Amino acid sequence: MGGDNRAPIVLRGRKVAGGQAEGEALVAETRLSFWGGFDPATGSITEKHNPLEGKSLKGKVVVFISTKGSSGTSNMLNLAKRFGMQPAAFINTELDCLAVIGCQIHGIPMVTDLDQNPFAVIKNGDWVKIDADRGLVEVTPRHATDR
Amino acid sequence: MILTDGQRAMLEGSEGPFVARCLKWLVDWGEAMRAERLIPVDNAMPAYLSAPGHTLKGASPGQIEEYMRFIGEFFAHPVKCPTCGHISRFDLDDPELMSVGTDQLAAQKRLLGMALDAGMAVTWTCTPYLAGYVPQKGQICAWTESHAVVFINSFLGARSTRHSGETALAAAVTGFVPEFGVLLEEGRRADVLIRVQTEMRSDTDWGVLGYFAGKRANIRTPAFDGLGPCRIEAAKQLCAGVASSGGSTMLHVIGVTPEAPTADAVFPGRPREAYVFGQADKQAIYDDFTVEPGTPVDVVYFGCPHASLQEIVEIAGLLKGKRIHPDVQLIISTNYGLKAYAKRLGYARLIEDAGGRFMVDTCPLQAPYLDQFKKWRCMATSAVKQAHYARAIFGCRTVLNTTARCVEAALAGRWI
Repeated sequence: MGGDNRAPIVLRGRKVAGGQAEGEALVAETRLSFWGGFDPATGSITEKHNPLEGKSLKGKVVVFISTKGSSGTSNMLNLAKRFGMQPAAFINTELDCLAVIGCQIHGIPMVTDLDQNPFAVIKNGDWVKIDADRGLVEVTPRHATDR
Repeated sequence: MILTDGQRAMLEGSEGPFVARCLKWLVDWGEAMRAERLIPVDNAMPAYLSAPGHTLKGASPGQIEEYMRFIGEFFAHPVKCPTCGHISRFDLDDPELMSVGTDQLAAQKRLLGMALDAGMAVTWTCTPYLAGYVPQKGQICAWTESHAVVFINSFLGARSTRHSGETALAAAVTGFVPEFGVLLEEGRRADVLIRVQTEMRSDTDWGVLGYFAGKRANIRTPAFDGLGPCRIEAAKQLCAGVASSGGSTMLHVIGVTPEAPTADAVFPGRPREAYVFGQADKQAIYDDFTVEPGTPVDVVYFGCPHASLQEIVEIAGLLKGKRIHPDVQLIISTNYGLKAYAKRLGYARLIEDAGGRFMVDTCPLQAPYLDQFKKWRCMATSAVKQAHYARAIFGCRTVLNTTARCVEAALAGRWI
């Protein structure tokens, strides 16, 4: 592949929480617990043994399976917003109703049911633009030659 | 989603803009979850009934004020169904325990007054079913606390999806919830079978079993085979374990819980993804959550989820005439009402004479940035949920074992 080949890949899916956003991708095939596994003051994942432990979600398009655990997911997203540490957008492959409402109320665009497996297509550091209202995800690989 | 004329009018503002916004949240949430309608709700257990405490430590006064405005708006509206409440962020009677200032106390009292005026019973507990809020079979509920949702669906046969603080409050002020998931008959079937092939010797064992199952079920529904009836404290631990390692909304105990007379009843014509829970699986979870013997313990914590009166009776019995090691804090969380019982019946005296203390309305996990808790290096607890979250929130090490063994650690000052 040519070194200059950075054509975006477009995935199509379903809107869960509307809006547009873009940011660097943070990808892990895992489930995240926001209350008790995330520090809203730093935007970082704190759950032990989680593949994203220590990683900040601030401004990231976070690609993960689903949320889990406490009902406090939405409140944690609310607090993260107060601290200016909220993620840019979520792409989930399974829908936990608690992430759904948290994103809807606190203005984090979210899509699901993409036509390609996002864990196969999107890599850490890729630039991802989301138009959740249209269910569109545009992925610009960070290093096209890595693929 | 198809709305009734009344719901449509509410959405268009017949009861004011805030109630309209709440209904819009429920409609959007329902549409994303593929609900076809909104149905009346029988009772609600919202969160958010609290001043921020330490959760907004470091935020600017403006950011805190904005947050208070966000939650204050809910409590300016009367509830349309019986409504109790999740925990607060500090103990109203003992604010020093979490080192909150007079500004937080004033905010808490203001919110309490508003919530009472709105018609809420401000129970401030994660186990409202131990404070008299016991939904009955088939009742439609909007509950937040993750283990309590699992408990009322599974052991009581009530019906609640997992709610956020906002949706439970929205349900209370509108009187509706979107119908999806376990609110529908077909949403109450099991997905994952857990065959239990080891003896359950303590409430903690039930929590460990739940933790094992939650990791495998994730957000699906587990069914357990090989268990007999259990006491409510064990059921509480089972549900809390499932809800900490995973995100299930309900579970079944075949032959025990009301909607699981047989395996066929919960797996109607469905493939069964099956796992065995044996002695080695149980031990592996205990080992993961337990430091090596001899390690000093700073805090011994009971009441996750909030303790029953019977648990308090048992802890008092273990502490009677003993003295907790001076380097150890022993804390029991429960609801205000059960602490009052414990005082009248003399159990509180036995616990306090030994050096232990109560923490009502709340739980240590609500003070993630409190310096005194951050200093904890090792917490001993009988609750897998507390051990799971303490590691992440306080960054401390843990001991997970029975109440009796944790009391031994409290007396010795180290894990033995």
